[in-house]
Amino acid sequence: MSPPPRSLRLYVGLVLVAVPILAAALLVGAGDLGDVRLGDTFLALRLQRVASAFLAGAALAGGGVVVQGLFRNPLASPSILGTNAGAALGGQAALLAAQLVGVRAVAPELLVPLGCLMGAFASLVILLALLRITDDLLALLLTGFALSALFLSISAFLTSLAQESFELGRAVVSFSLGGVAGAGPPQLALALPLIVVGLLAAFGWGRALDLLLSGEEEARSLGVDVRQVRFFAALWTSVLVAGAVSLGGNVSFVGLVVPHALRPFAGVAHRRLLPAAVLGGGLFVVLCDVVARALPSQGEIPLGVVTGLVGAPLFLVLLARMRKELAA
Amino acid sequence: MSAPENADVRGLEARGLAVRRGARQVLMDVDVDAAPGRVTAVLGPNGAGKSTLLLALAGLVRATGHVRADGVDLAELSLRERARRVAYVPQRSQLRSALRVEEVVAQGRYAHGSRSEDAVREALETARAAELEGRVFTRLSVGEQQRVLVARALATRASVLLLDEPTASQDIAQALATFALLRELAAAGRTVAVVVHALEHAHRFADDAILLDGGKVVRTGLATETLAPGPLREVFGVRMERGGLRFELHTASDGSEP
Repeated sequence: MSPPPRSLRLYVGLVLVAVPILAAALLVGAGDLGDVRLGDTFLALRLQRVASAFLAGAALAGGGVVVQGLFRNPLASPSILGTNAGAALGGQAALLAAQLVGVRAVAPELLVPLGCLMGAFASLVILLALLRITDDLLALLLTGFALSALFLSISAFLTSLAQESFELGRAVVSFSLGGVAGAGPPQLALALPLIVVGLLAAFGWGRALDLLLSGEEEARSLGVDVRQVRFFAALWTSVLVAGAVSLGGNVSFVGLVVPHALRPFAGVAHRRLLPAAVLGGGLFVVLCDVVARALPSQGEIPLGVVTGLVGAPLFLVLLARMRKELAA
Repeated sequence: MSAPENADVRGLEARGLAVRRGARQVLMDVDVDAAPGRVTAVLGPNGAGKSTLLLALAGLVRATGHVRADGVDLAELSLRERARRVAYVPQRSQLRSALRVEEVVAQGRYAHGSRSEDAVREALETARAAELEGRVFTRLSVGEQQRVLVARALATRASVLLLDEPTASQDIAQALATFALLRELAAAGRTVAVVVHALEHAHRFADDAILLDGGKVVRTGLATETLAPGPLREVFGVRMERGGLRFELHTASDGSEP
């Protein structure tokens, strides 16, 4: 069956939106691109920043699609379920371990993504163990909230440990606020394979996730090994979130906003929604990063603040609409 | 009419099936023999264990005993191999997402590893659901959803079809069409086992019947013999009239044995 025309229209629309967003991302910001001595350097830095923001957004939106399939709930997203917070905690712990304890066995650049991966996976495993698969929206959201609060408390404790060193303290705080300004070529080189592998694997599991939408019993009757799908969906979500968080810190709500905005156009099937979410998520975070740079403030507004300002109200609207539908 | 993929159809056979849920024994030592080319009705009052029996036959609940489909022990098969032999149609789907009808039917191809547009279209046509193509599953009526679920089961090309009260939410015309379809599927060589609520439907459309009560088989065999006045009065407390086309509550004043 050929894809419906609305899919084609969606991708044309995304490409058309991409042009001004990417142009703005390269043109907006501190530093004059026309500067003879530093123009090329500014451009290179902005390109790095655009690449980091796009990759982080693509990964978070992709992770959102997978996790919504995993929990059969369009309100699930890595940030709401505590996966982002888990990844950020893992990244912070890795930073601290590298600096304070003096871990030498693994290069510091490698430690942060590894820490993020372990933190994200641990958070999803804890969530799955606590909930199994549930239709109870409230239980899912409250458990995610409790996990987020737990991880943020531990993060705060780690931050307090890092206060003795100014640089370390700043690095740890920037992780919890989210931002792609600090991501350079080494971080990009490490996150890129994580994100590409995670997205390809998520696409590969798309059909199984479609079946999981019908519930465990029906999925099993159609030949799905539900436990295996759950494990790998959690693993690939963790890989994606780890890649994103290692680039951009704790950027929230992308995994909720983007799949939800694109579902009416791309449909529910994971193999149709995922590529659109990857493109849309990337562009959304690049746009938020432009806004973070453009808004008047002392210094720069953290990226996570901008995505939070957009995402949190939308989450509340979605929650209200869903409860209304359930009541009806 | 889509035919089962497996040419060696020998039906469904279960021996000593037992299911426990918590402290409650839901099924006890149940034997089933469902032959290919025949429609077997599973009957019993509410709570008799009919749906659990179907789930156990499909390998979807933890059960003791053995189930063989076309001579092969299901416990020895992978989930995908099992899904290619035994298809299960729930009473209501748990799907709450806006998948389109053809995407739901294509789920039946998962066990084959390929979507096969031909198999999906054929299943839709056989289940008389072709006109629903392109529509969103969750926006269909329950009766239409049921036809799509039957199409999904047909897309698996399994030789054994297990259906849990497929007519529960259908009007009389839809229910008669569903039973006519089940008879056609059986005539094409499939083994069809269906939980039936309405005794008159079982009487009219089933070849064989399994009568359950309290998790045990009370009677099994030809539908005409199993759904006889005696067992029905014993299990349901009803009196059969007009050759199985009407049932009335049995009262003590009804008198002697039939």
